[in-house]
Formats: sequence, structure tokens, C-alpha cells
Amino acid sequence: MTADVRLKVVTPSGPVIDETVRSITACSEVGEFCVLPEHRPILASLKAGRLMFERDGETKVFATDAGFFEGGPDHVHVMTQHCVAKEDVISDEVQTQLAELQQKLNSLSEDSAERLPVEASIAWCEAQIRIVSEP
Amino acid sequence: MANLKEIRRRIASVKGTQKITRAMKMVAAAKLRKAQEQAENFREYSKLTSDVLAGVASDADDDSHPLLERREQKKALVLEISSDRGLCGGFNSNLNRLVAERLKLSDVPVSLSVVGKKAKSYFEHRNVEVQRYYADVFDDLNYDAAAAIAQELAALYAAGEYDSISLAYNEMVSVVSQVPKVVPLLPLALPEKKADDAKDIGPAGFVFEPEKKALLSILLPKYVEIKVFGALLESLAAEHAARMSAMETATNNAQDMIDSLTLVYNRARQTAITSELMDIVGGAEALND
Repeated sequence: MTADVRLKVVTPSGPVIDETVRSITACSEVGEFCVLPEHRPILASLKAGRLMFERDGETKVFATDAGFFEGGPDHVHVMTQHCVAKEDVISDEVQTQLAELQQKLNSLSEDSAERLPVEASIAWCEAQIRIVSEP
Repeated sequence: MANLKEIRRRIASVKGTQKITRAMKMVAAAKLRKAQEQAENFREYSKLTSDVLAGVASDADDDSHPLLERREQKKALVLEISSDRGLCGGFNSNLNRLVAERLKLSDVPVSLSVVGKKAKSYFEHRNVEVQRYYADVFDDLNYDAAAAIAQELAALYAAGEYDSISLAYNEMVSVVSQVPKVVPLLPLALPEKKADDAKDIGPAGFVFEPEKKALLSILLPKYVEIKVFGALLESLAAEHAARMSAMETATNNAQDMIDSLTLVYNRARQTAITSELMDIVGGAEALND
């Protein structure tokens, strides 16, 4: 019986989190879920949202972009394009970026192939803003 | 005397060039380190995602997703990854030659898209049509740029515009050796599941959110992005390595030239001194007479 889970969050620009934790909460496409040690093997597609983990009685909150969550009894790997700690989100910058992206989206036609990446970036910005505004 | 001055001027000019090539070599070395670090950082993301895909797709058949579908070859596309800057030895010319040969020898019509100014100008000069030119990718190479290219390629393949898509780029074998190669991208070849990998995704008991087929359709485009970004990173590191070697050779050649010019200069100077001495001795003897 393992008492802890090794959580690893990796992005294309390098690993962001590598910690031993008690529990992990993440947002899948279906909804929010929590993983404790000895969890059944799970593979989930994450949407841009909140990733929380508990370590030594302390809860840490991160914003993650869309990605994948692969967990076993003693480990969890999260692969995502961006991941940033709640306290490191610079609200003003994200707001400006979001406004620019929305403007870009409005200028694209309904069936443009470029809409998808812009929409994904908007979802990521909105997730960061949502997490910062949470108490 | 004019000759001596001329040689001095040439030595100074070669020394100037040598300073530039030496500085360029050091810049390339620093950029190579940065590119290698970026590739190293990306490796874990790439490995973990590939492992997950290998597990999920282990029992998927070729028809389960448009990106896996193998079709009869009628039209192909090659994406060539060259560099924006020159002065890197045979880095671009070797790759351009390989791609040009591929275009000429192929049984089916092959279209060409390029990353990097060098390939664009090479093929435009030879009146080869470049379907799509991705500009300024290397100014600040990041995953988003690679993802945009990958998504475009995946959409072209899924829409049936092309029946195969390959990547042509320089592989960095070592700091002194870069090998140009063409590798197939689409239809996707799934990553091999490693035997020593304890992870076994797929058997009953695994929880999938959403269900497996939906997951596969999210994972496969991601895998194309990973392959494109990986190739761009590799090409960038290879470019800096090639420039480093080229500049090292240039610096050495400049040194050889300086050495031989200095020898010529000293010889000419000695000849001038000797002839002046002869004049003086000749003059003194004439006075004695």
C-alpha cells in the first residue's frame, strides 16, 4: 500500500511539477475528479482548468492548459502545453492577451481552420482568470 | 615598398575576417547549448505522451482514425525544414539536393512546403513551386508555432489533399555530423510499445475519460505536433552545430592564410633590406675608388 502519489507535470518547455503528494484534483472533459493513492489506472483528457494537489496538509493550486492525465496506483503524469501556479498568474497580462485573442477570433470567418487554436488559447486564458478570481 | 604595404593590408583584412568568424563560432556554440537544452526539456513531454498513445492505440486498427488511414499513393507532400541563415557549411545545400532529388525521382506528384528562407530561395530560383512557406518559425522557436504547422498538415491529410506527408530535415548525429533525411509523418506510424514499460494501458480495469476512441482522436493530432516540434528542434540544434563547425574551419583557414602571408611579408622585407644594404655598400665602395 503506497501512502503517496508521485505527481509529475510536464510541458513542451520542460517539467513544471515533480512532487510526492497525498491527493490530486483535476478537470477532465467530463468533470472534476480526484485521485488518491491506489487509484485505479486512469487516462483522462484534461480541459483547461484547475489542477490542485495536497502535500503536507497544504493545498497548492495550478492552472493547466488542455492535456492528458495518466495515473496509476503510485504515480500521476500530466502532459499539458502550459501549467502555471495560481500565484504566478499575471492577471493584467492574461486579460490583455485574452482581449487580443477575442479580437482575432472575431476577425476569422466561421469555418476558418485557424479558429480552433485561437479558441484553445482563449480557453487557456479564461481558465487562468477563473482560477485567480477564485477565493 | 608598395608591395610590402599591400601585404600588410591583406594580413590586416584576413585578421578582421578571422575575428568575425571566431565570434560567430562562439555565438553558434552558445545557441547550440540553448537549442540542446530546449530539446532536452521537450524530451520528457514527448516520451510520456508517446507512451500513453502507444498504450491506447495498441489495439487500434488503421481505419480507426483519418490520420492512421493508409491510402493508395496519388499525391504526396514534403515539408522541408531548412534554416533562415546561411554560413553553416553544407547544412542547407545537402538537404536541398536530397529534397530536389526526391521530387524528381518520385513516381507520384510531390508538392513542397518549406520552413526557413534558404530552402525557399533555393527552390524558387529553380522554378519549383513552393506550396506553403512558413515564415519566421526559427525567430523564437516554440511549441505553438510547431502545433500550428502540424494542425495544418493533419487537416490536409485528413481532407485527402495528400496521400502521404513527409518531413525533410537535418538530423544531428553529433556536433560535427549532421545528416539530411526524409522521414514519413502521415499516415501516422504509432509509437512502439516498449517491452520494459510496466505501463499497460488498455486492459479491463482502466478508466478512460472520455471513452477510448474519443481519447485517441485527441491524442493522434497531438502526436503529429510532437513529431513536427521534435524535427524543428533537431534541425535548429543541427544548424547551430553546423555553423559552429563551419566557423571553426573558417577561423583555422584564416590563421593558415595569415601565417603564409606573414612569411611572404617577412621575405619581402628581408629582400628590401638586403637590396638597400647592397646600395649602401655599393655607394661606399664607389666613394673609396
